[in-house]
Amino acid sequence: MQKYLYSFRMYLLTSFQYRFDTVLELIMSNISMFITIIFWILIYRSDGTGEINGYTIADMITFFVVSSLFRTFILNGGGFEISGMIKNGDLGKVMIKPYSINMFLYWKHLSNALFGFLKQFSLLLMIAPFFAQYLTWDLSVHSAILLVIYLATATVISHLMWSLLGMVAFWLEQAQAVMWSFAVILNFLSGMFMPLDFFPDWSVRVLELMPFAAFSYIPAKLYMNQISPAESVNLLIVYIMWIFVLMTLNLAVWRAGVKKYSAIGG
Amino acid sequence: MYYLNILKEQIKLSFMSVAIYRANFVLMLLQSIINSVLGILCVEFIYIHVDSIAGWSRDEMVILYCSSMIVNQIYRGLINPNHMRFIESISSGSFDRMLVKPVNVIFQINTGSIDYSSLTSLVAPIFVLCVKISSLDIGITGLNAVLFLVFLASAVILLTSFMMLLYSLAFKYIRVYGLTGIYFILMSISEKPKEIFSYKGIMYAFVFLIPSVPLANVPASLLLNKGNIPDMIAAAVSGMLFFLVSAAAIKRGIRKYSSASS
Repeated sequence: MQKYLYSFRMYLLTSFQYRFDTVLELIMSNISMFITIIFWILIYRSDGTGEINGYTIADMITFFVVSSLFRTFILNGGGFEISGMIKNGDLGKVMIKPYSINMFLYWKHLSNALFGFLKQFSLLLMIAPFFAQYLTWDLSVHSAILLVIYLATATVISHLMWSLLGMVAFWLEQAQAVMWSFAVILNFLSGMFMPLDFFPDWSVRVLELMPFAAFSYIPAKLYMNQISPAESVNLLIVYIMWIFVLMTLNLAVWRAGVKKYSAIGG
Repeated sequence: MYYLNILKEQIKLSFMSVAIYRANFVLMLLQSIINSVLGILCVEFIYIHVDSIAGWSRDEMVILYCSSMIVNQIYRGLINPNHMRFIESISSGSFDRMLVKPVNVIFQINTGSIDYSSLTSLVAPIFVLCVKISSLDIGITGLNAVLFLVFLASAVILLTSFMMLLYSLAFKYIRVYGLTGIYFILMSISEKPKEIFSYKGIMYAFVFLIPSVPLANVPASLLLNKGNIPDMIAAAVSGMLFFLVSAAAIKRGIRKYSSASS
């Protein structure tokens, strides 16, 4: 475990080195969120009722702001890295090292996620005084504890999902297209563009049971106290079951893929 | 004729490249179609809960979104791969090769490879656009259709010029990949009604400084009989200005360029 924690620390320190790139990326990603919020303000202004589908304008702004924070814990880098290693033959070199590639990538990208969270949080703290009145502040102690568990679960689920997709490269020369297609679907189904309860009624329950909801939608609802403790615990159990399903799938695909792997170029 | 022949060869070479990586082409096509369909679904889902947004009905909003997608996919299909190659060539020093060729540099920056998957995926927004137009009650005349196509073409030129202007900064700062984020922001604003800007001044800033409004709002409004002459003039002027300024920026950049690695 110590070697994984060491790599976690090393990558976290590396993240602090490219400050200009960090600032540029931070500005770009937040402008997109700002545009989405302005669009929703226009929707509320046009509707005139002050509440749409149980969300006030403050709820909606809070949803997008806290979602942007929670989404930093979606670990997608591992999948792209595995896919790259398979394609250029570097996987062979990694396989003979005395550590689990999956664990190594998890800790590496967790450190990146933590850095992403810290910079997003710092930015929000800086600008919070300007829009504090538009936010809802309903986080209770038990919600806060659950939130941390949810975010930890989200890191594991997202890492396993993306690794699974990255391993498609064992069979397809170019796995990037599959991964980008998945990214689009993931963004949509995890509530990046709108809360999932804006989807047709028949689909909401199904989507909540899918692992994507754990990334930002359910944590955001927890933050806003819009989900009961019992319900959030039940959903957490479902997401933990997803972890076992994904781990089994990862193992099966890895074993099948390694048999096919020929280390081209490695 | 000389440039047409070059274009013909570029089309042929890009097609040969697609023929080699067929599976990747199909997957990229699938990704672009998924992207379009999910975007349209987002609009549809919002309208389950509201009747109209700033005077735009559900079908009109989908038409606006599809117009933005069409401009986006044309740019991604024809221009974006070449712009990426251009900024890469400055940092690697291979831009020298562009300079010694007997072909206009601006032509070389904007043409070369074609991303056929992005171009083919135009089918999705065009199909939805046609379905939505036929379901609308308003009568769309030939003039509306012609103006829509003209301003769509103008939007592609405007987007190309604006991105070329941004990427001309590569002559000074070498690595400018971070600027591609502006492209996504631009497209994200373009698919929303211009009414998101409550103040006229801000709206005009998004016509003449960060030209997102003319990309889809103007063509879609013209198609839906909602267009007006001041918006048309502003879009045309913005297109011309950005074209001239970007060409001047590239020429100025070339004068300052001092090869990176060769």
